[in-house]
Amino acid sequence: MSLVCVSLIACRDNRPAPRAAADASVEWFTDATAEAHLDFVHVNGMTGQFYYPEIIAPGAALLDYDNDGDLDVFLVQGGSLAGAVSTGNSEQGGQLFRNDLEIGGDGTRRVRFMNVTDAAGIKATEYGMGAAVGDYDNDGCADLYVTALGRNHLYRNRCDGTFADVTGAGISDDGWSVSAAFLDFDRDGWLDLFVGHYLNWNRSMNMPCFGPSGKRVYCAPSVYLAQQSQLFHNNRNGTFTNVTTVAGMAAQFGPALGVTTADFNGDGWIDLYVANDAQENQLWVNQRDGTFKDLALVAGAAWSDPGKAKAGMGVDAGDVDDDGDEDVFVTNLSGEGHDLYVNDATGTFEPGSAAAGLKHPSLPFTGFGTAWIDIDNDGWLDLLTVNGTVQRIDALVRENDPAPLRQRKQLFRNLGNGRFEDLTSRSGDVFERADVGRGAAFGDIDNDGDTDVIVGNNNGPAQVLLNATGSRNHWIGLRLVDVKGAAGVRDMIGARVAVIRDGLPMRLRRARADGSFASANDPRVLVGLGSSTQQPRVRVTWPDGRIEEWADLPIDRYTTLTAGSRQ
Amino acid sequence: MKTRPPAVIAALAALGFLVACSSSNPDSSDRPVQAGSPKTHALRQVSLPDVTGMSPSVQQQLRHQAGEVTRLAAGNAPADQRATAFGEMGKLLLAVESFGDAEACFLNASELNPSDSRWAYYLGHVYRAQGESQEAAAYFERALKARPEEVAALVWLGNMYLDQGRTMEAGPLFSQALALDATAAAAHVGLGRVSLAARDYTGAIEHLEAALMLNRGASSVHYLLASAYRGAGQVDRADAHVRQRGPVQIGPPDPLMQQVADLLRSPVTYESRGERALARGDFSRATVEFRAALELAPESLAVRQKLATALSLTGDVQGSVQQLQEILRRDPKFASAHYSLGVLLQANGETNRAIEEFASAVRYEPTYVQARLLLANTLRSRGQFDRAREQYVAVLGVDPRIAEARFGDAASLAALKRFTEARDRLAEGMRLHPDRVEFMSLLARLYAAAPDERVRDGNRALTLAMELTKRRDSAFARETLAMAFAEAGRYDEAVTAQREAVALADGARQWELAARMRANLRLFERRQPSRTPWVGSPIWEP
Repeated sequence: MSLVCVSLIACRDNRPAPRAAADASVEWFTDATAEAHLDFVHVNGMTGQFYYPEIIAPGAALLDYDNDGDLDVFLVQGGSLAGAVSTGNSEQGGQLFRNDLEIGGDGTRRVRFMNVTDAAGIKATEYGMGAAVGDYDNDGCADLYVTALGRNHLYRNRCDGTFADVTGAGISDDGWSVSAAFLDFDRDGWLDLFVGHYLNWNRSMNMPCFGPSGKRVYCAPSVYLAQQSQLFHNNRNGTFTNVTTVAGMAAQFGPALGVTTADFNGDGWIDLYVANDAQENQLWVNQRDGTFKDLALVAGAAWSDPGKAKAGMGVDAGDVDDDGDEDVFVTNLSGEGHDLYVNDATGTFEPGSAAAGLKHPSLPFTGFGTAWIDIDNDGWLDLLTVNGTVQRIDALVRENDPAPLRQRKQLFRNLGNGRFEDLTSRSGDVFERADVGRGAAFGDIDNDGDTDVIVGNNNGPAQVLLNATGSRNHWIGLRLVDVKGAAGVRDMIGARVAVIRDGLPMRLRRARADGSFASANDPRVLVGLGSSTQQPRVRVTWPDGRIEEWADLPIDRYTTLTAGSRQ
Repeated sequence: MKTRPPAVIAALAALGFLVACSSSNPDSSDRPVQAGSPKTHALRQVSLPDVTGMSPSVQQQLRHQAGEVTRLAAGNAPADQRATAFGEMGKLLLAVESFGDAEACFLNASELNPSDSRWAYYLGHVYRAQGESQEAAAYFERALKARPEEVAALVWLGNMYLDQGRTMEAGPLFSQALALDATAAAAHVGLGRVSLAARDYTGAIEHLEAALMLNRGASSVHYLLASAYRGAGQVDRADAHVRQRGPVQIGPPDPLMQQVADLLRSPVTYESRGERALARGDFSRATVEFRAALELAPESLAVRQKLATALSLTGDVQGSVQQLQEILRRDPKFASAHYSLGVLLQANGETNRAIEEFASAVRYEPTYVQARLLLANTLRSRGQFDRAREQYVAVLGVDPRIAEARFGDAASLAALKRFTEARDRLAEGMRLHPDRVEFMSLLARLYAAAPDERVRDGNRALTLAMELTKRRDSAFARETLAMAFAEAGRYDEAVTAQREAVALADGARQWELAARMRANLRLFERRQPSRTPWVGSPIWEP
């Protein structure tokens, strides 16, 4: 073997020394579901017929629908699959919860959710899968798109606490879709929409599948045809046009489960990464002319290290090695190991999961919702995954467990040297508990400067996990907006942020609501500053390419940065 | 609560009793787990999994082996015999993916007979199957201590180390495996992965190419090779391997795990084995496996269909037809039987009947893309272009990824002299399937020679034809270039290119093609363009 660096870690001699292992006694998150009154139980409608959709949902969404400065929650509901058509009959439907956050004079915070679904006028009774959030009409109020088995629905926020179902706005999309993402792919200042479709399935097509012993099991996705994902262009008048074919996406698709958007090749235009189930993932690189090219194969981001397609459920992009580009993380099935694709800044990727210490601890788990978040605000992006299998676990079946698919969540801390530490067994009660985890929406629910999580569990209760450690370090919170005349401000999804401090590493983040699995995240940007109190300079690259800088921004609080307000 | 069959209950009780006696042995007390070493335990409680829903034949296998374990324990058989009984039970449980129970059996077997390294090896696989790579590695290490020449264990351990990021330790294991068995392609793949991790692209290429030489069917290696060539800056080669990528992985030669794979007598496992045999081209073996599956599940039309396929591939067409007719007797709407019958009829020259069968297939299963595509192609070959178009459009409605359907539709449009639409279809095909030169090829010819002057465009024809000859030079491509030159009025160059085309056709002994091309040559020599974009029906190359 030639004298080369035999491990990526050894090659990084300009990296700081690895940081100390985490404190064993830390309770990283607390389960605040009961105190927060988030009363929601997902129903998957299982009847023993092994209907495929039963094991996929639900997603969750964080959005400030009433613009009161705190994050509200939308939870996707399933229902019965025994109806006459493929769609469910969800009597309860998806639910919207308003966050009535109270902050005491001493700084204590109380999160309290109130179900406002009826008052908001949301009737999401399809067999729901996931949700995406974005202010598509630039009126300053976050709108909601709910994916489903059946017809997806677009709910326009009327900015008065209510929503209107405007699904007929050229965005009617039938079939089976799971994750969706709002993105401004043509940089015209209006959010477009990508909807990831999964499989061609309805109840009459359900195939019986069997394991080696002859027992009935859920089918593999290869049993059904993949459905074409869709790209919708915003016409700027409240309607959309389906541009899937024009954009060059019509003839290449797989069974899409996870979607994230980021500028992967650093050219200033937003791209898309799609995690497909048991088929090669896709990296749709924006050609800057209204079209996209799938470069995943040539970029090394389609398949994993052993050269095979894996399940591909949850996905997120983030600069995990602080080299200024967006790396990709994808969750997979038990036995496959999750994948880390490390970007070389040009949009070419190398597999890095094993070297980073992420692959082998993830092998026993089937991962869904996930995100790169700085859990402890030390400046490095960590990783949290929610897990739950798709085939019944024998040991749990034997115990007559009503949810024999449940697994623990996992927590990985970034050591800052290209490797991660598996903190799962030392992270407190939240990570001891096993659930059938699916969607996870990440955001600062109690506005204390660290990232919390809303978890959607399949056929089980949703969870509120409040971060108990991040606010011990310093941080800077940014809301990146553009003023839309009298209508108010819109979150600038896709804006990139560089946080710069003298003598300290630059941190690169982006404002995004997509990623994870079938869920929508807090579009605000949180950057951990560790113990440093130095006030940073912040450089923002807006989605249209404009660059602005702010100096000496206050730390340990949120600041709103408005496009065009600086020279 | 589910109830178990009486025999199983008896076996269960006996096993429980058996373990209780054994665990009084002071030598088998629990020892704490050592970091980096396998778990060691007293004989463990073993229970059968919930057999509800399992094939009756598999239930019988489990019951029989459980009975064997009980019998040997009750008869105070020697430890090695009891170990084997537990081990065989473990293999069955591993085969049915009851990993917890399999673990207990193999641990017991190992405890009773530590000198038999098979049990440690199987434990490695039990943990590997559950994603517990550290435990798996520990047991593969243990198996290797007893039998250092075990190639499969070396490769599996190497793979575990790779999963853990321990590439430095993985490399020597793969090298050792190759030293023992130079044909162990999986070891070359392992070394290829080690080299890729180290960014030693030359080394990676060497090993991965060697793996492919040893096992051409290992299509997953192409993706790894593509990464290696790309890293080495050889982009063309990387692209070539990307195009050949596939899902087939290779493992080491593994007789012990092959025993597990061959163990279960269930319709599903016989069917899987049959499919694997089909995939590797062992059609006779495939028929044996499918027949075995049918014996256990005679009602399974899907298995009967696969048997029919395997029989036809062995050359037993009559046998195949009989199976298909039996399927249709049982279920006249079984679409794939209609399809397969159609294929056989078509091969026998009975095209009209073949069309009927394909039509039946899609009538009963409208989303049956393969059947619809074949129906479309057959209709097109018979000159029934409108009907062919209906089917091509329907295929694209179900799955827009099928380039062949888009191509066929375009060719049908041209045959119907709807040249403008054909042009648009081909342009769309080029945009959506840039890796398929067929669209470029036909489009260039339309631009060069379409009878409809609204479609002709000499400059566009030339641009495409030049690109075509770069990407896939051939007699056909040269002629396309000649046609484009002629349309652009550059007859001298047209003549030169056409002569080259004729020479290529002659050289390839394509006499008919060469003769036709000579006719075009005479046109160009007379300074006349061609107005026949192509002769006959364009073929889509798979």
